[in-house]
Amino acid sequence: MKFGVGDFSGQLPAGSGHSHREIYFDLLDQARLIEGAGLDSMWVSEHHFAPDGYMPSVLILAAAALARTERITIGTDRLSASLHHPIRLAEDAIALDLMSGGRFVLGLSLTYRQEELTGFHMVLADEVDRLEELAKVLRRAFAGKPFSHRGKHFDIPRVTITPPPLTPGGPRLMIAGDGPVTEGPGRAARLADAMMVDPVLPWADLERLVEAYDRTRGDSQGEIAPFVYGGLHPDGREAAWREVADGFRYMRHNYDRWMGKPPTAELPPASYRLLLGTPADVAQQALAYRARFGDRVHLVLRLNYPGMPAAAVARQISLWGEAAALARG
Amino acid sequence: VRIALGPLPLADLAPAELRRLALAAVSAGYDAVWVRESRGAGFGGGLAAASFIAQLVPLRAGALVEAGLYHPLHLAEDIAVADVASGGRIEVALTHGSLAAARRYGARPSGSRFAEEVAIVSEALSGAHFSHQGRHFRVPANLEANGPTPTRLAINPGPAQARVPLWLAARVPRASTLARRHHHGLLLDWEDRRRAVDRGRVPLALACPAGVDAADLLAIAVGGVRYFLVDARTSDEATAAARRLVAPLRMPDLPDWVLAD
Repeated sequence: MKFGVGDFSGQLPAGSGHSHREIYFDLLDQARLIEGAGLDSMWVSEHHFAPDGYMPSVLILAAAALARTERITIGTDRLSASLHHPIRLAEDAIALDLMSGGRFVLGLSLTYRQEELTGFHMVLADEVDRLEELAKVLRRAFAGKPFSHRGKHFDIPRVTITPPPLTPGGPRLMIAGDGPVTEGPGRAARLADAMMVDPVLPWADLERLVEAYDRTRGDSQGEIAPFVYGGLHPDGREAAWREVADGFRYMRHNYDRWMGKPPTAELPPASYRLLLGTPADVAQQALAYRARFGDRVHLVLRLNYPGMPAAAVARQISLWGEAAALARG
Repeated sequence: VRIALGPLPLADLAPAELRRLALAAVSAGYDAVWVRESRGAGFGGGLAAASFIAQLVPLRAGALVEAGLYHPLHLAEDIAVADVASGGRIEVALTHGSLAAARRYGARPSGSRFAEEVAIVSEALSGAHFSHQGRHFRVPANLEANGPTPTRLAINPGPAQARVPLWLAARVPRASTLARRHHHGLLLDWEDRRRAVDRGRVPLALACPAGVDAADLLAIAVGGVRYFLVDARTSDEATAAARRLVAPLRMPDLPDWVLAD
């Protein structure tokens, strides 16, 4: 079982008194803290043209974080696939794979914000098709052999992406198991090496997604990356929630606004699979994933919320490192 | 006068060698390390490599990037994020995507497309909300199938520097005009060094071979070039070139005995 931190979004709430430069500096320092805490990974997430500067260029930031670290995986958990050209993405992902010694994971997802789609001359109706076609092209591009592709959205003549990636078969691909349970998990199983699961999904939905993922794959070996929200504090659950509550509220209500939903009133939301409490509590909560799905779980905890002071995030990373060590036994 | 190492071709260098060269540039006294992608041969990631290098060394980091292959807003966002992450140490040169690269991307490069891309990148990097209605790009697109959205957009975050130094490859058609219009510089190839004059106040940079003589560069500097990119491919070559060039170019009035190695 692996333990990660994310996603990191680089958001700057209005009136925070900080700059993006400070936030990115903190974020890159946090990459080293994650490595130092004995954790396994750090994940960054993409949105464009957001008023709070939600990170628009995740490969560039991943490159910086890879330069700052030596051991951990750095990945995108939600790169808005349909907005990108597959050849460009393949070339850039291979560059990161090579520069980092094989520590980069490319996570893809659907796009839903109209501002982003219209910015890049895309439409919502093409989302699923484009994601699937792009993932297929990436796979072939990562093979290091000549290929051509003629599809609905991309027409690629016979090309070879050189140099071949360091990681055999290319940087690992992760796809979010979004959408109907009949579609998202199957897409991840068919096209990716791992399935990302959104942190808002309750246990029952997570289990249905994993079941569908395994069914499509035909085994129970495929890596799953459940993302979770939470926080830690030596004094327990309430103290842990107090540490992260303000940032969590900002993050949640921002997503609610983007999705056209009313602001989530119940905080913390009872249906979320939150990891909250002391390191020992959280270790037990984390082990519930291993008990259900085995060692293939890569559990990614968001403990860094918009507007949180860097020192508070550093404390959270350290406590999550303790919890992970306890869970590993 | 500033002196950079590069642009180092990502196509020819293993990552370990790239790292060694970047570190050598620090001890040799260069101002910057530049990399060059060549997407026609499948080597992308120029800005990612610059972002990577900027975390390894305290110098400025530059990337010679091929335009015309993907959406210029991605290019602008990449530049801005690399600049913010590096604390304002990113420099960029834009060139035309090669025909080989264009073929791979299914793109149709043209002078008018390059001009639009430079306009969009320049507007976007200004940090202002903007729109663009051109032959090749409409930003925002506001297609019929899109829901209602604002008619202007801004990339966010914008770059850390008030102006990211941006150079246009001088061999691209109308590069001088575009550079003047958008207040960018021109990057000249060594073969074109005799044209390094009279560009109407456009900042000039010159890519030169590692073995170049300091006196030649001083003469060219008099013509207006203030930035030299030295194409050394090994740490030894980079160090030797710096010994020959850095002090004489930065302090041309020092006596010979001070400059002597």
